[in-house]
Amino acid sequence: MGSVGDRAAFAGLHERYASMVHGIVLARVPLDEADDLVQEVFLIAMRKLPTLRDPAAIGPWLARITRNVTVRFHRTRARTRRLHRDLAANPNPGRPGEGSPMAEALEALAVIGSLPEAYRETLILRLVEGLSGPQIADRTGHTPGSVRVNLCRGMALLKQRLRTNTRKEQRTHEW
Amino acid sequence: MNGDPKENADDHSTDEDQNYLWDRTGPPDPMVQHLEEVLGTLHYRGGPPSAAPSAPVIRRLLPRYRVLPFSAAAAVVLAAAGMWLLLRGDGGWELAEVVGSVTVDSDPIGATGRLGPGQWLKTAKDARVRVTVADIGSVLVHPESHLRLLATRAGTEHRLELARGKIEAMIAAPPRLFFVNTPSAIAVDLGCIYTLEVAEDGRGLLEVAFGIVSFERQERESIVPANAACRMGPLVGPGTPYFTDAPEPLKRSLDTYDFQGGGDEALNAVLDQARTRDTLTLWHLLWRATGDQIGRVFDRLAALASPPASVTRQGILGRDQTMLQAWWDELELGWR
Repeated sequence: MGSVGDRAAFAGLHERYASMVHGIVLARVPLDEADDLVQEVFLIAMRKLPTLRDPAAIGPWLARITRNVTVRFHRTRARTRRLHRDLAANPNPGRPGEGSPMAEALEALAVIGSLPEAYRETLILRLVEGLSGPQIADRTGHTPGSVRVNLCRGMALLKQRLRTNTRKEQRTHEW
Repeated sequence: MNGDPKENADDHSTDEDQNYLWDRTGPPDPMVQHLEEVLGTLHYRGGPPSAAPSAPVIRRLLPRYRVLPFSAAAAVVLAAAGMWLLLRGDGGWELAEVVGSVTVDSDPIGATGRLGPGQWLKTAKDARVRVTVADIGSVLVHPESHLRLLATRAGTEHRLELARGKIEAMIAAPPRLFFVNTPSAIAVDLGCIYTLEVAEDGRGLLEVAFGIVSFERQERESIVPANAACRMGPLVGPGTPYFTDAPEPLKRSLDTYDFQGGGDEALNAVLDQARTRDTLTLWHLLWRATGDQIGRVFDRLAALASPPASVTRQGILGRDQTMLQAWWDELELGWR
């Protein structure tokens, strides 16, 4: 890993970008796979850091590595893809109880998972990882304008789908 | 997506409403606030990986019990004939941390050097050297080792041949990018740190410290996770993996079963000695066992770790791959 100074610098890098990496991962893979892939991204980044040409572009560089890791993850998986929507739609004995905070979180994540990728990633970075719009733009390298559009349109669509789900559940209970 | 950043064709909220979503200024949007509270519980809490992390990044695998695209037999042919090499791209790998006498194609190297495609590296007694593997990691070569760089193509394949000796590999890369051919099997890196040792007669030992390695020869594959090991032999290829803290009698019986045609007696001894953690070994034995041995292995494995609801005895006896994968997924959680 190099010098102690390098390790400290890398820890700082992790502190600043781990949320971004996790958010990008979570927008593409099941929740229970996300932490492992975050670790993998940073291990790759550790090795590739000497090849980074422009230190100022480290956020977008890390974002690219992250997306590549998720693409490879899906390529190497031979079993059926389990997206968040399947988890929410098919409860099993190991799942959180209906109505519990975790169940609600997973259900919301499932609905976000059904949105277009650009909205999905931005909303997860905002709502799960707690990054503001300017922070998302700064770290991912996207323009503030495009981040704002994705947030606003994504949230509008998310609200619409959550309302639709709520009405469906109410009708189910009425039956 | 470019365009007017304040466009909201799909929503009737005002610009002021969207400010909270954007940067938490302005009056809070109740729905956004609620989603922040609910979804915020899923935010990342992990720490940075260390150089030798204790938490393995284990990849979910489906065991591939089919002929591999690059078999050990092909590797032996390449090595024996010194034939064409799968070369293109980088000019070679850097050598550093040299201790003692190290040669590249019989030429001694100094404090640093380079190992080019097709070149043989040898370490003398008490010598060692670290080989930088492209941009994905490094391999520490131990004394009295003899290896050759077969291929190095960025993003596609990096392959060594270890004729004899011992290496410690530390690789941070996507799976199936780094390979080590030996006379008896191929170690396929799946993102890990491991030690691989090969004797002159082709027998050897793989020990995985972190991550996971697939140890392969033709249709025989052993998946070796962290804290596990796997022997190999020239006639058999990879043996059956076991956790390094397994009882010694189990390891001895497994050795007899794998490499000395041990049969029922050796298998029964393995089954008797197996602990809950040794389900790694038993799962692989479901593939290695023959005839009514498979049923005995299933019964013992099921007694130690109940199979998931989707797995049936009949299915496992028929080596149903979906069921085997499902059981592996369940067992793997207990090995971490």
